[in-house]
Amino acid sequence: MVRLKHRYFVLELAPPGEKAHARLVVNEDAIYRAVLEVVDQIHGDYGVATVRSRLIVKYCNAVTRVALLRVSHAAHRLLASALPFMTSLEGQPITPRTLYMGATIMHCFRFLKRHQESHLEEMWASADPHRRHQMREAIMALKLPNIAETRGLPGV
Amino acid sequence: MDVVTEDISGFFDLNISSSTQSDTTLQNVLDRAAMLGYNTVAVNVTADLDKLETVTSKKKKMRKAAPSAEEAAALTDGFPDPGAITFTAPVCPRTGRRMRVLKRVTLEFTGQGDLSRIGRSTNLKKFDLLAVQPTTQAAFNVACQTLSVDIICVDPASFRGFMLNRKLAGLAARRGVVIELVYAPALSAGSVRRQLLLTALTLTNITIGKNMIVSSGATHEHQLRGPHDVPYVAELMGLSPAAAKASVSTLAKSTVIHAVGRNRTGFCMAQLLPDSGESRSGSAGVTPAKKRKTAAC
Repeated sequence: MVRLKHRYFVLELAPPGEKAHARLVVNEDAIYRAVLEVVDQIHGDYGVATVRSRLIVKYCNAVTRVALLRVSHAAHRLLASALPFMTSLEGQPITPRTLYMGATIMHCFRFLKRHQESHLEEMWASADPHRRHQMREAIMALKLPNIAETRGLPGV
Repeated sequence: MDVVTEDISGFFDLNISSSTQSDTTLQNVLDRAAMLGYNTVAVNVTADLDKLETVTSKKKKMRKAAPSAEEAAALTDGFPDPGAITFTAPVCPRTGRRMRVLKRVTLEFTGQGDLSRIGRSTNLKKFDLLAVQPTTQAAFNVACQTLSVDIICVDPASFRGFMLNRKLAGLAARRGVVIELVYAPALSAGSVRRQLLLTALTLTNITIGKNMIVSSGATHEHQLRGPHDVPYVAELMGLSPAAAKASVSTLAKSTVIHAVGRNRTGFCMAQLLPDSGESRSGSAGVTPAKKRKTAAC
């Protein structure tokens, strides 16, 4: 039985305008602080206390500019209503957008995987032929380690 | 735009300002809206009804100046021209279809001027949506009771003193006129946000959160938020979760349909006379349509 209910937010934190494909300079800690700051602006001390009790930035990706937040189910409406008011992250202007909200991390992972794949396809299509060729060569030259061997599993 | 036959489901943002900030263009804002997942947006032009030049005063001026043919052609009824707004509708990534971009005009008025101009204007007929922004109590009463419009919007900066009461709100709701809240000014912290939320909460208190749509009022693509984020902002403004969802989808849709009903239809009258036995042709007893426009124009 689930005793602690959570909500997971998949957020896109994109810089606005022409820099839309720029790499975001970001880490989990910066997102954590920015989220708490905007909750403080909208819901004040009570909001910060409620949200902070179980807030964790599980994952963030600087290239696809996606972050995964976890928050308690009781506080998710507070967080969701504050998030649209986020306008900057470490001094960089950004536009937040909720891509997905899920109750389990598994579903968020599935969504993220699909999202990253589509992002990759987009990047691949927009890359110039020379760069594409280079990447293809690099991928073909990859030598995968034998996982069973590196982990020292039986049957090697 | 043929709204009648097309499927108009999806998400709506019925207020995107046509005058954008200097470092962006309307096209950028529309592209961003399509990217975020909106299916229908409305580009808004604001005009102050009391400051608009009237047709008669313009004509008088022209008579004095002995107008050339060009000037006479440029004679409009003083209202903004929807043809001046130019854009290409971007493609929605989800549906693969072009985003529906409507044109909307917002008229500020104090309720003292000649309101019949609104009905007479040919320029206003070309807009898809007609909104009013009353600035006094008298104007509010007129807008809720009689004025044939689609949206009543409130400027949070000037909303002081006068009140909408529940009776007026109910009247507006019955006529299918919705009240609009915008969220873009609230994105910057400070007194503007407080004033906007105060106004929004006051209005939702009176209307019990019914019959309210929430739109962006964005002047920059930075100010647009996704259609799944806006309902949460709407909840912050005092709407119930169900009303908040409806405010960007079903209620906005019915507003667009109301606009079609107001703008693109006419009245038709038929009278059946008793059969006198002399003329048996079917059309003899029916008077021709008094005023008729098809919805497909």
